[in-house]
Formats: sequence, C-alpha cells, structure tokens
Amino acid sequence: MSDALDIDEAVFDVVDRIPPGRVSSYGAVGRLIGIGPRRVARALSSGGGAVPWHRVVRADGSAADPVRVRQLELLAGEGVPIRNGRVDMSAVGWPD
Amino acid sequence: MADFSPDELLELFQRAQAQFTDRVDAVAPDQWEDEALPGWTVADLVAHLVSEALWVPPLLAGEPAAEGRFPEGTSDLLGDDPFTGWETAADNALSAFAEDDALIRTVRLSRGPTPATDYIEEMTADLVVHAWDLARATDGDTELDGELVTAALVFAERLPEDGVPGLFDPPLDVSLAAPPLVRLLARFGRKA
Repeated sequence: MSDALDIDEAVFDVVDRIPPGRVSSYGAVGRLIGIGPRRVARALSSGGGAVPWHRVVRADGSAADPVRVRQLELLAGEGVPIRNGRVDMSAVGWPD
Repeated sequence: MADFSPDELLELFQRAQAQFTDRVDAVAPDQWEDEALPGWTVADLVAHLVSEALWVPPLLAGEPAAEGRFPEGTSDLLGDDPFTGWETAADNALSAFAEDDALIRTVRLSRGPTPATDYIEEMTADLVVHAWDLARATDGDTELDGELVTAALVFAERLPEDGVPGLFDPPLDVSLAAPPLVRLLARFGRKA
C-alpha cells in the first residue's frame, strides 16, 4: 500500500469516529493525524463515500461549494444547528 | 459606501485565504528563494502572511500586539513544510474569526484599539494583494476572484492613508475608470 493510501485510510478512520449530530473541520481532522486541511479534503472528495464525510466542514463552519446543499441537508437531518449556511461549530464541534 | 454583514465579511475572508492557499500550493520547490518584493523572497512573503494569521486568535482574545510572541524568522514561521505551515495558521485564524461574537469585538493593534470588522477587512485586502504578489513572483495565476478584488478595493479605500500595513508602497495615481484590480494594486503601490 502506498503512503498516499495510508493517509487516506487514516483520514477515513478519524472521520468514521465523528458521531451523528457532531461536526469536525478539515483542519481539526488533519491535526489528529498530522496533515493539513486540504489533504483531508482531498481524501474525502476522492474516496470518502463509505464514511460520514458530511460531518466535516471548513473551519468557519461553511460547506465546500460542490457539495454544499446536500451536505447541509444531511447535517440538518442529524439535528445540527445551521445559521446562514454555516454550522455552529461552538455547539457541535468535534473533538471537544 | 458598501457595507458588509459579519457573515459576508467572514465568507470574503475565507475565500481570500483559499485564493492565497491555491497560490502557495502552486509554488515550485525551487521558487522559494526567488524575489517576491524588493528585499523579500517568496518564502519571506508567505512567512509574513503566516505571522499575520498566527496573530488572529490572540488578538481576537483581547491580547495586545506585543513583540516576541511568535517567531519572526522566515524558516521558523514556515517550519519544515511551508504549505502546511501556512494552511495550519490560516485554519486557526479562520476558526477564530468564525467564533460567535468575534466580529463585534475590539482588537488591540499596535496602532490602537480597532473594531474587529476593520481588522478582518484589512486582513482580507492584504490576502488579495499578496495573492497577486505571490502569483506574479512565481509565474502563477494572477487572475483573481473578481468579487474579492471589488470588496478588497472597498476595504482598501477605507484605510487611513498612513495606516496601510507592512510590505506596501505609497499609492500610485490611477484613473477611477481603471479596472478594479488595477485600482486595488495602485492603492498598494503596485502596477498591474
């Protein structure tokens, strides 16, 4: 297995641990495994379909454009507080 | 004069960061020591933006701007991997500005108490102009997001003549009919 796939797997493992109703950021997930936010976003956009990718947003609680509508729908369905298109990260940010 | 809601200011800042991040990501390994601005390498320029970003959380927490809190040398600011160094600092700055009441606070800049909305506007204008500097220095993409350029021009025109943050030259004369990017760059002493 290549290093790139190892990193992708590490991202998926962390994202899989985010409970329903909680939301993390690309940067926060990256900090847990020692990579930057864009690397996390790339792993999730290329192969995050089997993990709750929708529970990861930008550091300001906003959703990336290509998936914005669907992502906010999925999060609203889990009871996540959303205001003006942004998740209230102080209320539901993960990890604590 | 155009006014922006706190949510709009936050979104513009996030986009200005992302636009700069794209251009940091595009820097080739052999370009870091190239000149970006007179006396400043590409690495120095990115390190300057890292330093600005590092200051956002403490300033928004009400701490005063004081020397010595963060490293000042370019290699210390950038760490082993400049892209990750920038991304990490930028992400923490974005989190801090996204806190619930962040944009109704007052920050203690070295020039005196300043509304956080003025602070985020300055940071946004700074990111837009330096994205152009970085792209120009590295043969990167100097086409900038038009909405960001227009907003940065509004922000820049509110700045006091003598209050423009570092790495900028005195304004150049430019026609009001010139395109927004040309006017923005002229405000910061740059010729498109």
